[in-house]
Amino acid sequence: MYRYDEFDRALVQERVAEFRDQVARRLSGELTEEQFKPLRLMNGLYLQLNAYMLRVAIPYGVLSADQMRALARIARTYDRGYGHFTTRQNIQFNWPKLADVPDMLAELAAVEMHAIQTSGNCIRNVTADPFAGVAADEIEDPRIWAEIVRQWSSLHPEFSFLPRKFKIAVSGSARDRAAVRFHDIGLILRRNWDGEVGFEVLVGGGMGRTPMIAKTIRAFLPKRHLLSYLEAILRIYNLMGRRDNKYKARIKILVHELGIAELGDLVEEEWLRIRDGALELPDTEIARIEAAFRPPVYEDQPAENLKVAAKAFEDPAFARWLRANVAGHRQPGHAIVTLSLKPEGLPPGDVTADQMDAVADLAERFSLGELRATHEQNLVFPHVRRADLWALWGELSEIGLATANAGLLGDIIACPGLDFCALANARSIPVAERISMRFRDLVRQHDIGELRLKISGCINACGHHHVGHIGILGVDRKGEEYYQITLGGAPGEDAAVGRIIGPAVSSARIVDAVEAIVETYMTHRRDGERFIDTYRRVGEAPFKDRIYGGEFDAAA
Amino acid sequence: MERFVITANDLRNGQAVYLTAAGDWSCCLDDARTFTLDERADGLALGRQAEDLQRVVGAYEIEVEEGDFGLRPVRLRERIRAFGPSTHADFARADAPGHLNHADGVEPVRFSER
Repeated sequence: MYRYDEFDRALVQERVAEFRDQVARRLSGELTEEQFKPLRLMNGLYLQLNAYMLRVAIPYGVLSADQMRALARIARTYDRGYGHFTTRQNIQFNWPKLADVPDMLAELAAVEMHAIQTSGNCIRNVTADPFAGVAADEIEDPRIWAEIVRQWSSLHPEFSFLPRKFKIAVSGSARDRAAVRFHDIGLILRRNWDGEVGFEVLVGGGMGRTPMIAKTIRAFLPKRHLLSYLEAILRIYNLMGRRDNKYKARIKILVHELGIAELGDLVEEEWLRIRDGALELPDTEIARIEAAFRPPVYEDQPAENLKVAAKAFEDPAFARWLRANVAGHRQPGHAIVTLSLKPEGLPPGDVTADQMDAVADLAERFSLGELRATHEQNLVFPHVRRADLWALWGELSEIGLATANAGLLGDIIACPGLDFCALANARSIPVAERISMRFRDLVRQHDIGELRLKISGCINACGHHHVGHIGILGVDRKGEEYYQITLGGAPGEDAAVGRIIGPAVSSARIVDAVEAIVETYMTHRRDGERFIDTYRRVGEAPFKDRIYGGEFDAAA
Repeated sequence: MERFVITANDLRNGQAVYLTAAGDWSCCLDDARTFTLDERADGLALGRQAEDLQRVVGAYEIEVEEGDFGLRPVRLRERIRAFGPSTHADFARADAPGHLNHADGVEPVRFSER
């Protein structure tokens, strides 16, 4: 893991002291809300429906066991005993008191964490593939570059007041587990014809009210030029992005209005001017960061573990967990384990302080002290010996984090929705809870297979509904909660924006509607087809007919 | 007759609070002073005063009605502010039971029962 150097440490600690003073002045009445609001937002502190909310960055999703314990302590001491993992590799605390926030930030700083740039029109927390560094299908570790981007973008003076927020995601694998095509900039490590590794740079992806898939602005960028090229994109965006209309201010609109070719020319021109300057990364600096992400020393293990295979044969529940939540590792005899934060009937992404402590202990015992937060609101143990899978499954079952539903219907992404969020129009978490209760039978979920269901409580799309195989968007119809259904979205390398299939469905009918859609798929699917495959083959008509064709009363 | 109360967020903890007849702010909606359509501008002025005194943030008016358990906001958003999120039974206010039952009868699981 990357450890703070003296610059990182000083920067974060100075910010805590600064914010402590600002909070004191706010509480004494010296600062008005108008004056204080931009200051608190620069430190990730929102004022939501029920309370303040502190959003803490987990850079590219990487957490140590000690950091997890600190999050547990913060949840217990300053919040109501739990934290909420978001769709951007952040964690949110929903009930802090204003006077406590400086202490929370000080505790975070002590474990090399902070809430800087988790709000505002700046470059937000850089996200990455949660399987980074261990995925069997990876070209190179994207964390090295995510960390370099983090350092470059932290308090970057030129990019602190962009037209709108700016999100960057990095993947080291062609298999996209980080939804890179739905970020302002997506970076994918690729090998060119000469075998050299560099970046495919994509720009202008995003969700919100105008969902767009990012377009390739440069098919291959040598790694050492990454920062100058990013700086060129950001500079053009900063100058040309719209500031007159919040809803047209993201770079995706600039890409759409100018066209990718013209934007590419402008970026290229700027890049040629700055390319060989101070932002060219010296090899020594790249090596310094690389050293922080050197793979751990793994014990030699047999590629397959017979005991695990035997247990899987004996215990179907364990076999289901292996199938859904355990992924291939680049190191023989090892595995990547997803800890589902989607137990039936509970809010996606929520973890109690006790669970956090237990997870930290288990990470030390089974995953070399390291874990990851995913944009799908789950946790990952990246370094598990296959020989330990049976024992780990048992331990995770004890604390309610072994639900065998990763990538299945129960693995729902949901934004906080109207229960917490000041922007929401309808609730999302209760809908997720109800759907997960309806489909609580894991045998049935496994039979249904891969199905990405995502729920947002408003058009800002924090719940990624546009890229759900089934997407659900909450809307307010004369004070009643209604839910619009989209089908066919996909977040990964086969990126697609879902299409609305018809009028919104009432809250009372939304779970039935999901079930009707799933049944329609089951009726039409051919062997080996996932939901999304069947949808792409048969189109929306059978689903539409089922929901709106007469028998199913969507408005009831 | 439409009735309104003045709400805001408490500066110190961010919680939803309501302007009372005594001119204080209470986290309990039942303590709120109600205003008629004609009076609500006066209520809002009192809210603004409290903002200027840096006691509360973002004062505004909401419509309420008489419910089974006392005053009840008309809009769902305000019911959630008044009675707590519906995601965790633990977070809902004990004095407003069942205010946000799930539509198909599935009660949220109590976090303490996990």
